Amino acid sequence: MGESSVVECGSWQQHHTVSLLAEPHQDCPSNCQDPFTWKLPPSLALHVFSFLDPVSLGRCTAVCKAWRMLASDPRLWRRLCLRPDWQLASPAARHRQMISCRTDDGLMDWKKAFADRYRLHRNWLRGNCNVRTFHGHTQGVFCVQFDDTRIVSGSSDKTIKVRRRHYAAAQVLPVSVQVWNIRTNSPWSVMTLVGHSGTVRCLHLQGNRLVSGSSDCTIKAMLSMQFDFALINVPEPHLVWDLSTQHTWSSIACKVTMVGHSHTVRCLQVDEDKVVSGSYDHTLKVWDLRTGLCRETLVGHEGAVLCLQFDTTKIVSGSGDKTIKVWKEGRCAVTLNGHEDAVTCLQFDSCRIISGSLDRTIKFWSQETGACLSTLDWMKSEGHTGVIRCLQADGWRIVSGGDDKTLKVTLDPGSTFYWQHCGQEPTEMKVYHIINTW
Amino acid sequence: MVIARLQSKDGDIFIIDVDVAKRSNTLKLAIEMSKIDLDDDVIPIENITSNVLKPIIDWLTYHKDDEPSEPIKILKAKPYYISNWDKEFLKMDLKLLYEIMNAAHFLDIKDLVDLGCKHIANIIKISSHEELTEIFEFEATPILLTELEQIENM
Repeated sequence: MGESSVVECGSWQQHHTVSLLAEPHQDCPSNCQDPFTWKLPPSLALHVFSFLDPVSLGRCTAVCKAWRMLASDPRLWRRLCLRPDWQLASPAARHRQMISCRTDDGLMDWKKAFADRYRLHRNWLRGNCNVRTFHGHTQGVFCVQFDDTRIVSGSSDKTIKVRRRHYAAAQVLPVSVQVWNIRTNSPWSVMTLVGHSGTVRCLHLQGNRLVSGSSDCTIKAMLSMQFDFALINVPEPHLVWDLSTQHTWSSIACKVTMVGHSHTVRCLQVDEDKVVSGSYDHTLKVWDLRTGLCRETLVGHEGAVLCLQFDTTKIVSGSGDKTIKVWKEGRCAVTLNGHEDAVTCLQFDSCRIISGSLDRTIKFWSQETGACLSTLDWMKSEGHTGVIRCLQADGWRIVSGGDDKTLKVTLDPGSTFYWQHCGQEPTEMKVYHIINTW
Repeated sequence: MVIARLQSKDGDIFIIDVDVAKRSNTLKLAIEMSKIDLDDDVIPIENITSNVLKPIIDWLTYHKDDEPSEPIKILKAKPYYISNWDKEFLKMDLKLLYEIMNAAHFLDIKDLVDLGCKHIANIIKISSHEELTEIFEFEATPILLTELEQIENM
């Protein structure tokens, strides 16, 4: 009881009645070894361990039996797992780990869970990776998304492809999105989705829905029972596809095509009932996923809309006019100025917006004030020397890809992980090169 | 200045500012709940000896103007930071430190307990396996590589 209150940093005060007159091990079995020969009650010993970093804590489990027991306490590891910088990136991954780390008696093995996360971090920081090559597209790949089981990619060969191994000889289609099964070793896609008449510029896979946007001005959405995805084609009409992959190709179908943009659909995001798309025609449109009708058009950017993200309260978009705009209730609420060239990619979390640009910098913005908090460039902080094309961020790192043929993993200066790994001085940003050439 | 008289196990009496004493939640409760007449009565602390109580009072007196800390915030911001004064304070035998921590736990002085724990954690952090065995005086047991270490060595 006392132990848990200390570790949880909770109602510590209630337990001041734990007198030091009480013997430290009065509740222990007779064969208990005194953890520290410390004359410290286990609750305090546990409190000491709660100040340790994961590696030291891991070391403590190898010192002696008593320490091993104490340092393996699930509460210590749970606390580490719950810290923002050790979170897994997606809810799906978290859920999967919850299941895989369950012990026989139904409890969560937090130590194992943490070890898994630790291994993942190390691989990222050391650049450990396996390279697998997937074949199928005949022309450049413009967009890609993956989850645990599949990779979906869109290309200027104008198809979306999903292939299985025994279809290895499948025909090459004119405009494609391809889907590969990530779990098999087959380099061939299991499915090819055709329908767009122009380059597939963007796609979003969410659950059983795949939506894709294309330079034919349309968005297409598809649904699939097994593979679940929907596809939307962008510049003029938007299409939604219904797709079931039960060993046949016959059930793949475009569900909805959304038509309305007057130029290439460059970016889009989908949720349960709507699609938000940005286009070279300078506008953003909000579409009803079921009917394919345009609900709303957001006008304000003076250049092509290149990237966007939305949540329940706002839409954030980046544009060729060098600005980022935050849209609330159909109106532009804030405009962020600061980039010296087009904004190519962005992501926001609860308080910040992170954006990458043709000016080769990554900038951090405050959502509240719209002020630029900091800038990552190649001169000061080993940033990209080429145009930045894409980025993604989570609790502890930012991964960005650029025309300098590198992918860079940058530790987020706002995270506690950064502090632990790079010492006390926040003046320097550490960058890890994962891949030097593509 | 209102004063409180604390009597240690050995019978020594320590006279301190009552506000200082109240930084210990246990003493605060005792003073406020039991209607002790501060002018006449001594507060007996029967399980803490003078050599332990003295440094605790020194520490309380030095830190009397500190803002009460929010534990979670401190942990997040500077998990290993210890001020210079505290570093001097901690230059003592570990045995005595354990006694002080136990006493601070009893007196419910959270910041002092945290300080002690942090100090020991720092020692653990910088010590090798052999040093740990020596410092904490336990019998050497065969080292099993832990999960984390196996990853470290990968």
